[in-house]
Amino acid sequence: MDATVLRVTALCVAAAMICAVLRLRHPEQATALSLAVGVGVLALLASELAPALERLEGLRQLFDRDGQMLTALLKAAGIAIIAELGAQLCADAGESALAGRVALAARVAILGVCAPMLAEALERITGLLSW
Amino acid sequence: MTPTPPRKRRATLKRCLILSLFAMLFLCLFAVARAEDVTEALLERAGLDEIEALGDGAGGFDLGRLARRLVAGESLTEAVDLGGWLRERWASEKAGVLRGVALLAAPALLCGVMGSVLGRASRVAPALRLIGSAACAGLLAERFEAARDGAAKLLDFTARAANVLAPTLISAAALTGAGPAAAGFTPASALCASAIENLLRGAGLWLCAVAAVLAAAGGLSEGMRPDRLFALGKGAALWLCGGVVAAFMGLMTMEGLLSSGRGGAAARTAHYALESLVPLIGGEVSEAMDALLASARLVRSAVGVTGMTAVALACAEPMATIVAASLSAKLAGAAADLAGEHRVARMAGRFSEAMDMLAAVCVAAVLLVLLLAGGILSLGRN
Repeated sequence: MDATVLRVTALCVAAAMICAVLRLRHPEQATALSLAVGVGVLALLASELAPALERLEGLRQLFDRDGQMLTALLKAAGIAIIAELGAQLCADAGESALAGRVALAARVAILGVCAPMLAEALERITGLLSW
Repeated sequence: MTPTPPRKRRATLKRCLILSLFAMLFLCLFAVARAEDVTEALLERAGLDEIEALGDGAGGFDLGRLARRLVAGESLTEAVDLGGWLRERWASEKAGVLRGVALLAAPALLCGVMGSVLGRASRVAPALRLIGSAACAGLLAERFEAARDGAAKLLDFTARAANVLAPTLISAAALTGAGPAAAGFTPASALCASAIENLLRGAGLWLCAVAAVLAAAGGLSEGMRPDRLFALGKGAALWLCGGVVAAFMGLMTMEGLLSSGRGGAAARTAHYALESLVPLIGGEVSEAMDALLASARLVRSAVGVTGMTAVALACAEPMATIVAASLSAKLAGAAADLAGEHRVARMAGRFSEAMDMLAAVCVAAVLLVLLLAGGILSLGRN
């Protein structure tokens, strides 16, 4: 993990310097480079995320029936991370409106993933009164 | 026909007296030899079988053996290994409590961690937080439902126990001559069962459920803070429990005062009649009756205490479930608080309070039955 952090830091510092130079004459290229580096950082982190995901999978199996609930929550967490990264990139590119759309799309996606879990929770809560 | 001379008559009378004394001595020895049978017969007459049937839910505890040990002079703490029983229960509940805490705290912890990863300015984090709260609310509602099912079972059992214990203890009191006085408690037993079924099971559990739903609503919505409504529901449930117990205690006290004059009057009258009206052996018979009454009182107390123990043991398991659920919610709330998820922590705390309300309703029901049994048992002691 330490090596990955070093690699990510070096990559980002180098990209920042190049972007600073490019932004003066070719701002569109600077933005493209920034996006590409963002994706690269995600790809670097993906290999490090695998062991953590394995551990989470073990945790999910511990919860038997409620494993589905944890799966939905983990999916929602993944969506949130990706969307946050996308929104930040859009905001960095000066497209705050697009950043807002990304956040909205993420919220809708999270609700979609967790809809069965939400419905079940609401059913349980309302079931308390109909007993 | 020549009249019997006075000396011969006196000799015959003396022989008769000696024979009667021998006969009484023999009867006393026989009585001592058969004391166990008498106790067994008294236990059977006192309705021990019904108490044993009532104790089917008492975790396989041998209630008949307990009653016999109490009659034999053992104390309740000697006869019941309460410490061992509690250790067993904790060993079986411990894993459930820890798993419950992990299960309840997992969504809150995940959301707390994600909140930190995404940062305060994140526009996606609130949605994730809402999902985490909803997951926690669903899990807490499931726990509450299990606890409420346990409470409903306990209340059903206590209502049945009131219906079974009172007639059994009244028939046991009849053995000691306090039957007419104890019969005055029959309406009280019906009232006890009715209060448990209608007030505690009906209104009490419903108030607890309302409190739980308000707790969930407060946890799901940032803007909604039903604190006052929650406090109102909680207060109403506690007032209901306290009021029912206080009213029943008052009724039992008055019933006891009324019955104290009648208690044992029949036995005392029989005692007096034997001593004053039956010549020669009236005193001995009266003393024998005293001994029998003492045995009957011992048996009555043993049967009563066995019945009360059956109620306590049968209620212990659902109570343990409720307390374990409440403890899980409290610990999960503490874990969520540590993760910075204060809304989930507050919701878990509220759910825990709703479960404590369930426990209060159950304790009130058990108290009603114990008050009823204690009231009948205390008759004819003077």
